[in-house]
Amino acid sequence: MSVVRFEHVAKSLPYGFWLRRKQVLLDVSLTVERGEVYGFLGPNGSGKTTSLKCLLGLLRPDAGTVEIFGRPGNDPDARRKLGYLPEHPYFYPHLTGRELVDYFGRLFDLPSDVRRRRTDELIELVGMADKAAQPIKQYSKGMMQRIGMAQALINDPDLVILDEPMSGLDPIGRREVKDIILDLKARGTTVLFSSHILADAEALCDRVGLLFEGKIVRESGVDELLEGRVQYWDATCDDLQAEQVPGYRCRATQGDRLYFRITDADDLDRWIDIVRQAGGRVVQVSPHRHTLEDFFIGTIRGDRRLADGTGSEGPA
Amino acid sequence: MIGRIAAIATHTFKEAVRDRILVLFVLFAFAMMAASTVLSWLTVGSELKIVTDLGLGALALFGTMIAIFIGITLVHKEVEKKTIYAVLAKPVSRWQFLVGKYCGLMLTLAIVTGLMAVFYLALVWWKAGEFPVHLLAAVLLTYMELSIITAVAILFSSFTTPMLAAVFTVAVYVVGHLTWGLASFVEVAPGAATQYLVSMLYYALPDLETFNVRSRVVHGLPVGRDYVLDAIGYGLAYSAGMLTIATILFRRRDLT
Ligand SMILES: Nc1ncnc2c1ncn2[C@@H]1O[C@H](COP(=O)(O)OP(=O)(O)OP(=O)(O)O)[C@@H](O)[C@H]1O
Ligand SMILES: [Mg+2]
Repeated sequence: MSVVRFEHVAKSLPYGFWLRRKQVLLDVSLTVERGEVYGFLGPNGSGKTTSLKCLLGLLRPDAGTVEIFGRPGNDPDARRKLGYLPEHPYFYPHLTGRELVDYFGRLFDLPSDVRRRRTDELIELVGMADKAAQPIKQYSKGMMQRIGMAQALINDPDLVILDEPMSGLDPIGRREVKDIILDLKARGTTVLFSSHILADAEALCDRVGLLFEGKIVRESGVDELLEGRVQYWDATCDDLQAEQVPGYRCRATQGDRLYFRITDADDLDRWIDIVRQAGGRVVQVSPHRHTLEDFFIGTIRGDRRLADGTGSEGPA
Repeated sequence: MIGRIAAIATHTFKEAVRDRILVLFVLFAFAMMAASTVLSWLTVGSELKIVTDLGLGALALFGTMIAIFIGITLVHKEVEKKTIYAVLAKPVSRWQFLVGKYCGLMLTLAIVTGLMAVFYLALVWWKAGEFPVHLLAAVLLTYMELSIITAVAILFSSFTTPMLAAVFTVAVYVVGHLTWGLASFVEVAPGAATQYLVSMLYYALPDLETFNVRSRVVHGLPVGRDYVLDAIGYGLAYSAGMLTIATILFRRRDLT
């Protein structure tokens, strides 16, 4: 059974004085399996937040179905084992961080001793131990994000939905959030998070879905995307002249050092043989792998070569 | 479920009592009650009546103002400030949220009316020389009126801005004190259709005069137990109706 399921979800939102409707989601279908870390990627305004709000029952989809643990998203019971960190979280300014986490613990009907223990643990985990007694109105953006992370975990959730968990955090904070996500994953918790920072997704996710203009344009495993997708190799050799390596275009020379860019694995093998037979020395062969960045930009531009990693030329 | 509603109610209560404006309202009410004693000196013979009448009036007026003032922002503020997202992403259904808010404000009003009532009853006690037991019913009925006004304010707050909600709620309050006239109008209204319409209107709008027993208590007349129980039943039923409609509207609402 999937933990999260979107099936052909469409949603329009009203805007302007006349409340004309803008079609924000056209067709969102995706599933998140138990224990997975799923990266929900897409550029600004592609509809990530809107999709997540549909999932949580904050918005009613115009069409399609959303399910959490096999129940409809607007069923409160479906949210018992769910943690949610909203985008740019904003919490009651008059409460202290600790009071906020405790209040949300009450909304899960947690007994007070469990609440107290988990609140302490989580405040420690998100590095807010010395600020938990301050009222939230004195919090910086990053502190708000941290306390938001703490409240999302108060019920020891089986599914955690994080809408841009790293936004507003300093490098240390990002590292800490990554560690929290990896820790959740290690404990078998399912994580669905949205982001446009691809390096984060690359480091954390099992699978990613790419949302663009309200449609899932691609969904696949991160490994599948990146594995073996060497775009090209930068190969360097010494002690040879360009003429001694026939059939290969030398990109640059520096004294008797030659620089090549090779896109095919067999070509690379032959190149190494030729260099060695000619008495040269292979100085360096460095593969350039595809990044999610390429995948992202490639898919959006409809550029299959870039998206699939079959392009002959990488970025200069 | 009860635990969650209670959590939302206590949170709402704590937030409400932090507001300094609440203290101001209560002080104003005290001042008005105190002023009524001064006024009563000018009218020889009916001193007690003046204090009883104006004091109860002040209690009802300031209670109503607080109910409207806080009620109209209760839901809207949470949506506007986006604090509601994290709350409704918990296993909290929308009706529980509304009922929690309602109970929180009713708790606030219980404390506030309680304070005003203590001051008021003490004042009358001092004037009359004996404890005015019959006024307890009047205070209780005033609180029931506030329960209706709160429910109406929350109903409007759940789908419109505080500004419009205030206008609508005040309108319901004013009309609510005139509806008893509608009841007698039903008999004399021309035509069956008009009669039907008028009686529909009568049932849709709250009959707030039910809770106004000032003219009785001013003359030292007790309010019957059955009358009080009926009025409480009416207040609870009407509030429940308002909250049901609020839930129906709010459940359909997109929280963008
Ligand atoms: N309340 C609203 N009313 C009307 N349109 C909205 C509303 N909220 C969002 N939109 C529109 O819906 C689209 C998707 O917005 P959404 O916030 O879901 O994007 P996102 O993918 O989360 O973007 P970001 O990466 O910037 O967070 C945008 O084009 C936005 O203009
Ligand atoms: Mg977003």
